[in-house]
Amino acid sequence: MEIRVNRSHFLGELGPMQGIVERRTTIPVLSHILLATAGDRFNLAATDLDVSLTTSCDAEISGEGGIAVQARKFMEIIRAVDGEEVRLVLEDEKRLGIEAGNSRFKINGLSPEDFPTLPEVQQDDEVEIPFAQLKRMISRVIFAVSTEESRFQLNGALLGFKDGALEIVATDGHRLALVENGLEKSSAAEGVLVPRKALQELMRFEGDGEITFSRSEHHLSFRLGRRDLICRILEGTFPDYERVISKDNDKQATFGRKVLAEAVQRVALLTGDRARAVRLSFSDGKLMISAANPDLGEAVEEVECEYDGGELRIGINPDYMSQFLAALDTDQVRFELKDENTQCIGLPVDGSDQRYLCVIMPMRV
Amino acid sequence: MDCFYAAVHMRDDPSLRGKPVVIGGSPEGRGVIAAASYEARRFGVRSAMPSAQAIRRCRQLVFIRPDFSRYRAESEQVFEILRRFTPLVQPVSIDEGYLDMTEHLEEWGSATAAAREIRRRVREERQLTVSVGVGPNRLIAKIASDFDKPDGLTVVPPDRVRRFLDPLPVRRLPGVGPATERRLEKIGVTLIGELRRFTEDELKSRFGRWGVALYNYARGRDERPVRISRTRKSISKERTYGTDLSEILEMEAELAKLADGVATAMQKREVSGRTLTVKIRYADFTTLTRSHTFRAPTRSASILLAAARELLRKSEAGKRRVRLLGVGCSNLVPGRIEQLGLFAGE
Repeated sequence: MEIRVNRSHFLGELGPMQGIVERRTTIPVLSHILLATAGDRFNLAATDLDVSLTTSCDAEISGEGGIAVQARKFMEIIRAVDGEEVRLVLEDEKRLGIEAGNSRFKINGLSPEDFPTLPEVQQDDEVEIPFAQLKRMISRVIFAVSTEESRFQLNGALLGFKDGALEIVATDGHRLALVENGLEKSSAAEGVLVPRKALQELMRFEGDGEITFSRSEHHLSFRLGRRDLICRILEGTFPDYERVISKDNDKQATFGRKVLAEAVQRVALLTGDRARAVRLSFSDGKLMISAANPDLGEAVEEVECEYDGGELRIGINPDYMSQFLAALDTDQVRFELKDENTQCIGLPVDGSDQRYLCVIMPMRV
Repeated sequence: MDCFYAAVHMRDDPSLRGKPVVIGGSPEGRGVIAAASYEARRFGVRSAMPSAQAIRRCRQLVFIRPDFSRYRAESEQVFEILRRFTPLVQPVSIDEGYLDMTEHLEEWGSATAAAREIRRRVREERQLTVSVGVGPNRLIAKIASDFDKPDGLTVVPPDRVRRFLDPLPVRRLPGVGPATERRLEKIGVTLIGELRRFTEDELKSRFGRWGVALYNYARGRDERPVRISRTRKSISKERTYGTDLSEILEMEAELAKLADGVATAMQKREVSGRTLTVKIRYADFTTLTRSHTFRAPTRSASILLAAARELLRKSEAGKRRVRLLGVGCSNLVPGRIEQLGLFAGE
């Protein structure tokens, strides 16, 4: 097997593979990527057994064959060498020659038979989603996905297909983010839980056009151009989220998003690492944000807002607030509040999404 | 406090006075004795002894179910009295604590006078007896307080420390249990005075760092300060079951009760914790503990339970029968601050 491939094009395909391979793994082959020819195609694959990515490169190919190479080292080499073109030669089953510019490498690899067989997702029930839209929607909610391993059913986002719309919801039990946008070709289907890692990897994809989504019993596939991201469906019951989006929050406060975000971050400097809480004290026309920490001291900042709901004090995790404000792209943001024990709801003002909100449960301070 | 749990019951129920009373589980089950009155001790009944064994030693033993909330309330009352003497009060258990009187000697005349006054006030206000030891440091005060129990007062001035310690068995030193006692006996040491024959290096080579502590203890030296409050490191609940649990669902139901208890205790103490620990003792008494650390402190029963359940499932519980389960939370953060949960039950 001999392959000639454009180096920068190759690097562009190797990049997203790095996120898939396991950094620390007890199964050596999972830190490898598979390079293989199939007819006139040069294919690449990486997997951690839950999330897999396959792609291909335009290349001049002679002969059949394949090898699994250590993903990080291989990428480092391809990035470091000179020249526009890289030549890969399979020396034997477990050894790959790399030639570029004046450099010659011979690296050890593993036989392609050692590489796991990737799941296949049948492609009969496909949905097309504009990729830019999907990426934007994921960025609106991904911060709310739980990283607490013991709550595995929250370690992903719910992808829901409604009639003519796509909805994505994420929650960690303390806050929840929901985004919904129109989707021409969508029809109502059962929601599916997409693991966090798959969402993160999708965010790394680039390009326009449509991403093709399909599902089988246990797996999902997201295809964009040459790339196919396949992930195992996260099993578990997602909580009944519509129920926690309170409808009777009668107080409203509207802020300049950037002003609020910066003020929250400044005051948050004086919250401890272990118990992060800032106090929000609303009065007509203004919000006082404050934090007090017995070890560090106190901080307070006043922010103007449109608000006429009377005195209200509420404690909140500043990180939850900051992450939501960072996921927004509108100039203004509105919060709907009720009292210090009721979740507040953050909403963009004049946003581009059909529906977008973030529910944040307060802290008792 | 003298025989604290039993004393509380005997004070409130005169019919118990003069009888061999024990606090603990019934002798029919697997209960153990938590406390024994002095009358019961005369029969050889000791705390931590299985109830079944205790009843064999003393047929007329009166068993009382422990009522820890009552002991806690009583303990708070007693410590409130102690804090009138000095703010430097360090409780070390529900019925034991240290007072640093250094800064308050003038007020009371002397530490000995303060000790007399403490005993009088506790007796008058709480109708309970307390044994007090007065010494130049924690080590001596502790040994002195045990010297003349119950209802005793032992004062050891600095110049009499050696005379006081020398004839006492090494077992009186804190940290010396049966194991150290046996090892010391092998080198011919049964009394604290005999321990002083050894140099620091000799003890260090035999016992490591513990040897250095022994060397200093034998000389009555103890630098540990009295700290205002012992910060609680963990809150836990555990239960030994009358019959071993064999079904995983049954165990999970028990975990739920324990997690609930831990969460309630944390709420009461206004702390949250980051690390959850599950303790499992199998039927053959092998015991394991497994921990999970959360990203943020919590005192939510359902979050604690979810993690506890995961840990249980990773164990062999279910395949093996289980006689004890425990749930604990450590890495505690003080403060009333608490993240509320979005979904019911959190």
